[in-house]
Amino acid sequence: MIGSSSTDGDGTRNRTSIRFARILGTVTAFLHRLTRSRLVSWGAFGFGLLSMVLVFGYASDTMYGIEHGANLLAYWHISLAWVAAAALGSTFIGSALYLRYRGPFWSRLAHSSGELGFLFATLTLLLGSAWGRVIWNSWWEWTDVRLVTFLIVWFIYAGYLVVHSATENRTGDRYAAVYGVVGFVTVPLSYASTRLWTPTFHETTIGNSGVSANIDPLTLVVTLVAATFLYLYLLGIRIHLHELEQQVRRLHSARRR
Amino acid sequence: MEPLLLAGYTALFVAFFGYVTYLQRRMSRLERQLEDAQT
Repeated sequence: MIGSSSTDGDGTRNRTSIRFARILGTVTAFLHRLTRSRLVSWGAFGFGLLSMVLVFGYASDTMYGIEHGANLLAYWHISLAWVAAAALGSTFIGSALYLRYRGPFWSRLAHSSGELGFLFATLTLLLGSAWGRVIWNSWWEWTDVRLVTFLIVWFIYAGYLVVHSATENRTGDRYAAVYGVVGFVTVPLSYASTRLWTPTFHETTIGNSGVSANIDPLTLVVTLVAATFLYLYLLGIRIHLHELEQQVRRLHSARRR
Repeated sequence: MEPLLLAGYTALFVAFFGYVTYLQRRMSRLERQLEDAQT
């Protein structure tokens, strides 16, 4: 009886894992097709153009009671920060799935998203610093918890890229995947930092009805969509590069034999 | 136009176009290597 119930349990577990593997296969194929589709490249171009029109022709340049043209940097600063978090989230998911299933697609997704997340985070810091010069009269504030935690995220993912490039292909992917899973802890921590600790300058925006930034929601949403399409477009190219590198490596090793 | 605004969006464009150009160049180099290895 005990033996048959444990066999039943194993069978159910196997069926569940086969079903999950099939779902993952479908997701992989969908992501692969989506990132290489024309919808994404034209979406990035169209929404990027629309965002520029709205930022420079429609949105108000008065924020926190200060009228200054550099306030318009806020739209891309905020959008890039959100998409950077999404990209680093993809690195976490890709790394976790690679450690579980060893599929090369997940490793490529994790590394490509990590590289893009790092680029987006760098631009977030640059634009934020320039915007901060206007509204806080300072390029950088060590007392602001969001700024400091975001800088930690930036260093963590700089380290991730170093680990990935400094290790060998197969084993390196595993090390980088472990790093990608563990390092992700800093991302939600940075986003929750304004709720966990008292912020000096950054205020909590989501779910805060008293937010005083005066940011136009339409311009912000269009810019966010543009940044997302841009991320997907770059992700498609980066993953394709990984595939080409793999093909070249395979051909070279076959020749050596 | 405010110099900070100009500098910020210029940095954004330069970073994205620079990155895309870098990726495209690497891609064409790899495609060439692949063709050479196949022939």
